[in-house]
Amino acid sequence: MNELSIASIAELGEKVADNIGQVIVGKREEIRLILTALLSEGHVLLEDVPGVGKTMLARALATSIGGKFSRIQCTPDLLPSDITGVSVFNQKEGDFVFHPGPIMAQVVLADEVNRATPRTQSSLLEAMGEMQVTVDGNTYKLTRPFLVIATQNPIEYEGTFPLPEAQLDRFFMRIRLGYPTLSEEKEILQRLQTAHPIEEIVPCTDLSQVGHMQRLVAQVFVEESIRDYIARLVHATRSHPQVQLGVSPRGSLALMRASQARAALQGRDFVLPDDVKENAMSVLAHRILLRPESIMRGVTSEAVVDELLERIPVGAEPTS
Amino acid sequence: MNRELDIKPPVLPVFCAVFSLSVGALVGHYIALFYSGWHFPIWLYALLAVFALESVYYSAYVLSPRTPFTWRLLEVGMIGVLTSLLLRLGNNVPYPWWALWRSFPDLGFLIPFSIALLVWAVAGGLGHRLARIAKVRDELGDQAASTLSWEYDSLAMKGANTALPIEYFLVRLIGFGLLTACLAVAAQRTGALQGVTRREQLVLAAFHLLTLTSGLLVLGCAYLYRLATIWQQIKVVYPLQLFSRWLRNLLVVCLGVAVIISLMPVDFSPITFDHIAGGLVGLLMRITSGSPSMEPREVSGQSEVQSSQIPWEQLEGAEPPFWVGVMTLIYMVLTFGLLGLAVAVFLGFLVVSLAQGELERLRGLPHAAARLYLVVRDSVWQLGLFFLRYLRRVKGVNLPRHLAAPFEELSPQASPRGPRRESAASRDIRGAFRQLLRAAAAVGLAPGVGETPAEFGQRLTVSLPEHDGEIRDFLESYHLARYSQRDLEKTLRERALEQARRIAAGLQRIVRGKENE
Repeated sequence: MNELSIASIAELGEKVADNIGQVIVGKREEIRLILTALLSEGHVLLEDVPGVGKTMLARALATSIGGKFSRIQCTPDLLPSDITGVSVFNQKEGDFVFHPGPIMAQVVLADEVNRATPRTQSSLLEAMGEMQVTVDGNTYKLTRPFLVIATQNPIEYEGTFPLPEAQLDRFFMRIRLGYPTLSEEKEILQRLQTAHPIEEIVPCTDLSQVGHMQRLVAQVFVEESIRDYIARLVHATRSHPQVQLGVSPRGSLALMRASQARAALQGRDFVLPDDVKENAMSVLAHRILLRPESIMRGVTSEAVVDELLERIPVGAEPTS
Repeated sequence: MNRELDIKPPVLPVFCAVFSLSVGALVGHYIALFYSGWHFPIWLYALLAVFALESVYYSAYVLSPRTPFTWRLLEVGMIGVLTSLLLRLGNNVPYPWWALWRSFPDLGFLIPFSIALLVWAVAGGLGHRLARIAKVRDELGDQAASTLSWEYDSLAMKGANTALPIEYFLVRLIGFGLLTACLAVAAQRTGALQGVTRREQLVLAAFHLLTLTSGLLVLGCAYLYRLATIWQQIKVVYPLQLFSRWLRNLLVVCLGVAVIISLMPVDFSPITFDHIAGGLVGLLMRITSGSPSMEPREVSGQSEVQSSQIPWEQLEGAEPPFWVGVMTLIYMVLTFGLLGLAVAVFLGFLVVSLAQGELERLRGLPHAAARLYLVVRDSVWQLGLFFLRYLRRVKGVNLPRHLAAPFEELSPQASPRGPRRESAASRDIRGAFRQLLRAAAAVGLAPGVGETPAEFGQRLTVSLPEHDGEIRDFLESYHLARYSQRDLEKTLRERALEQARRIAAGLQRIVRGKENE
């Protein structure tokens, strides 16, 4: 790996973040996390109330990387074929013609994913995991880069099908956007008074460059003690007294990959413990299943991750 | 589908209620045999029948995970109130009808109340099982509605599922069979049956027969009902050997019960009804400080009048000083508070044990009791751990492995260095960082357990703002030395060591400043 390559990732990352920043006011950290997921070839679960800019964020990202954006509004009557596509009989040619579904895009927004039935959810998650869909026995590869941003409303659970733990585990990270601050809200009002800036932003990179960056990220050096730190962190979630089900090995892999991406976005070709700590909350918290009595006591998975980050030694140097 | 499999769901709860009633009545009759001071009242049959039917229908058709737990507690309260009121039929009870709490230490109340509670719980459990069968039916119905569902295919291909239904009631039937068998053996071997009239013998035999018949009916009907529901949905051909397998299992159960009845050494057991009842009554008397229970009711009434008169006479004689009033108030608050806490914790324990995975659905009083119990349990656990740690530190006592693990996990690793070969420059920079850590610890800035070098550097900058740039540069060099693969240049090493020396000097100045103060 050469310096220029890593420097170009940091530079391009900044450009994309600035581009998205024209549409999404503030939320720099959340944008960085989504870029981390994109470079790590992961998928994002955005958990937040309606109207905080989830769709705009996904559209702005798609435009910035020069990719195709599509949106799936998940409802209980949504069928797997509404996502993957369907083969329709063409009477002229006497053959079935495949009509690709919205999954065939670079950035896919699955809005309110927990309103879809488990069958539809699993078809979406299968596409996320396998990077391909199978319709009528034919397999169609999805084009890279491929990023699914699924959203769910954390307030209203009536008439929903909550994602089971096995499916939550497939999401690389969970992010919460949150409401803007007072000054950010005023800036939003000012910017959007006449026209929406989403129409004005232009691509600042292309799909081949993003693919190249994804390959480079995987080569960022992870020192032995950092791997050890990640493993101990994940292992501690499995023996935590308040946790019923800890983080899977897929979670520890995701944390390492996210740390590599963050290091690359900061122009480094090696990972620091800080990279691990910065990503731990987004990558680990949604993979932890708490015990019922802990939930009742008001304990959250975020609090568990926080506690572990405080008490697991990073293994920098022996203190005595 | 075969005609004999067409079991209507409303029939099953009736069988369950009859089974629960007969188990309760049997237990009651045996208690009357063992304890001559109590006779099985006629009204208890009606009470048991009402609550058996109520509990089984309520559990089967109404109760859901969203039903507030308070409803169940209200049902228990209703059993207590009705038992207390019915107890007054033909009995001379020395307290008014509304003084329910005064009947608690009375065995004349406690025994029928406990039997009614047992019947109510047994019937509720059976009703809950029926609801589960119905739920399986609904799930299968949903799956069958979708012809494309892979679950449908997998269910249709699952032959092993045919062995499951008998498990629905089998364990309960074995349990209650054992209970009645133990009672029968105990009555036979302790000679309690010797003075029994012909009529009472007939009643006992009738209830044994009713328990067995209704139990087999419950098991058989539930078994066939479940088979019908499953196979109706997945359209599997009914294999006849299943019925013979079911009969064979029942035969095994009956043989097992017969063997246990013949061999059980009940008459050698130190745990007898008299011992348990005596202990319970003694405990209740101590709690209620001499309230009537085993004593004749007239005598206990007199002693109550006497004990209630003494404090009033004392109060009328001379006005107590103010501090006595305050102390009394504190004493009462503490006593009632602790008693309330103990009761709430016990309730919470019951709720947590019963509700298990449904804790988050609890509301109101059960929710508060469960929370209180969890808090107390955690506090006791933490306190125990604290003492164990104290003993380990002071007395050198070794902690058990499972307790020691969470603490040992926190200790920093002896050798965080990986297998990577380090250059001399890297080793020197890391050595300088370790010296900085020691110097920082001397001024109270020791690194935290989970603190990264960068976070440590930020904390150091607050104490040494004049070295801000040097700390940042040195940490960059340290990061390269510790976490990257690069070979460090000699100039970088020299610069980093010089920066470390200056930062350490800054820390020493702080130490000297503190000493001068």
